[in-house]
Amino acid sequence: MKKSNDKLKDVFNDFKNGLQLNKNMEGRLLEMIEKKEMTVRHRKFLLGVVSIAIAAFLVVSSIAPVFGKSGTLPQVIAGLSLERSANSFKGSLSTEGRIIEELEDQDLSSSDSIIIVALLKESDVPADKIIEMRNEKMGWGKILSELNISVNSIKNTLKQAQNVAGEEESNGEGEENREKNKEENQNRLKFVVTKGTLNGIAGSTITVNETKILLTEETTIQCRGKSVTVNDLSIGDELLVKASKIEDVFEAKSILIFTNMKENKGTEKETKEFELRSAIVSFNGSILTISDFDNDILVDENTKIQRKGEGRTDIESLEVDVTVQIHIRKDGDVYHATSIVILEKAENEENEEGEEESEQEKGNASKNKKETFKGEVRVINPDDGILAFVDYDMLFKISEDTLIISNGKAEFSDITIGDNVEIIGTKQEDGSISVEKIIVTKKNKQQENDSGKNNEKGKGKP
Amino acid sequence: MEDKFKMLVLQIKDGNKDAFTEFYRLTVRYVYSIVYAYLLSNEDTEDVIQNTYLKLYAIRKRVDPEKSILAYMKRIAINYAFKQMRQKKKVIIKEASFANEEGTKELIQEALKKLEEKDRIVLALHYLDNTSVKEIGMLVHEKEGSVKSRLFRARKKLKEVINNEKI
Repeated sequence: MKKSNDKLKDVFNDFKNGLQLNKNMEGRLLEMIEKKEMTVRHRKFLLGVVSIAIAAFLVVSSIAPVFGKSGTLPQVIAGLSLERSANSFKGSLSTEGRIIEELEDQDLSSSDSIIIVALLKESDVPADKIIEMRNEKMGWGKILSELNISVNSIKNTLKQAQNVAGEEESNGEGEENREKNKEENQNRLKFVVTKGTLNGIAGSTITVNETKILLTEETTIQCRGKSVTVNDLSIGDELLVKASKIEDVFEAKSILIFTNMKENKGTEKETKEFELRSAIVSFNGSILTISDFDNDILVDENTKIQRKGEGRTDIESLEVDVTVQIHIRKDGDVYHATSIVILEKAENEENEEGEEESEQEKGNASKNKKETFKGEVRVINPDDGILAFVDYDMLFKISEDTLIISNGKAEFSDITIGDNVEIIGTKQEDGSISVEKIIVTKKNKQQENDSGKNNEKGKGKP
Repeated sequence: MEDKFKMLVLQIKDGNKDAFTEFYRLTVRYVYSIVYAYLLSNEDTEDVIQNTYLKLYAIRKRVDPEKSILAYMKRIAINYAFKQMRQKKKVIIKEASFANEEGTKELIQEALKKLEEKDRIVLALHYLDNTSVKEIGMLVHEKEGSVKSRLFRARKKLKEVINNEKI
């Protein structure tokens, strides 16, 4: 066994030694290693360059205002941090009335207003100077740096002012402060900027966070740049309120709605679409009214106007009394026509067709209508089943289905010339009457006698 | 030889290319024979050898000189060989070039062709490298028992061929 294994080992060794390796393999391998090392060197070099560039930029940006009016990198970071704090701020900050008025005159964001009011508490810099700097698009970091105010001090001011009204009310010191302030600011109004969530509406008083604010006739309310009314406020709205404070009463000067719950609901739920078919009552180029619909419908360049069977047409085709099929989309309180199809022509055609139809129907109806004729029988042709009256210039056609009554059920042959009959039948296209029923109302007596005599004569005959 | 390898590995770790070339020359035939016995294709074997040495160079700094570098190479090479086999899924058996024309090696090659792929690598590791059954099992990811039966089956077949040819 061992011998056999050794033999196999020898055989395999021979096999191994007999393998002739490709001499280029070594060269190729070394070449590839060289290439890989070159790539690694290049990568390292590039990484080094990029790292140095970033480091140099950070160093330069921390000294020089590489971000233009936003200042240096630390100033940019500080400014962004402060704006974030102002955005998340919920509470009240007091300031002077003239500053509120100044802020209202400017088109500043809510966070800007809050930062300015907080900043004014920390420094004696005039408000108009800060507003001017901000209007020049300077970053908050740079502004604070130029005013030698630290970002942290403003952040602390904001932090302290969070829900200050609620705290004042619950704190006994608030009473003392109020008394003190009352004396200090006897005839001086105190103004506050409050940002928060609308928690309640009771008559002309709203509750923002915990603060009750009175709405007056002078209070302006804005939402997305548009003036709105108190009715547009809903619980949950995010508001920025600029108010004056006289003793414990806050009087809102202006309210800015950030998030309008009602509006959101409107966009989410009140949008609906429907289609109507009616006649135009009036149209002034943009507002359309139609019968059977009480609201004005807005028609604009987005409204697709078509004439049935003809395709697109212009707005001038919308004439009074024209029947239209109109697709309406309700966006909040506005009814907007998304597409109008003028049906006038088609309707007329339909009417014409309808008239034709009704004529035909009328004709058919008149032809098929059962009529009653009364008169004296003038002509009888039993072979053709034809009967004619003296008074009428028409032929009555009798069929197997015709019911004949003469003192009970009778036969056509029972009817004689001179009999008074009542005929019920329908008029045919050829003018004749298809008889359904004949009632002999009065027998011709002479004929009756004749027939009676004949009958007597004929007695006993088969 | 182990000491020589240790020294070379230390030099390779420092990025010495001459040491790497020397190591390559000393070990390539050994690695080649094992891989070739499995793949039976010069082209595929060359690819595997190239990848194995490139890998070794790439991870040279992590190689522990106290451990057997050949065992390490064997493991890398076998893994690449398995990968190559999976990718190809066909064995292009080419005639290997032999130093002499005696016919014994050709016979071995023909015999190897008749074996299962894994039987070939088991046989090659056992007879070319004296690798233990346990180690073979670890290298080819099989239990010892399976390796033993593969070895038995392959050896039997190989012997038949050899005896028939009266080598």
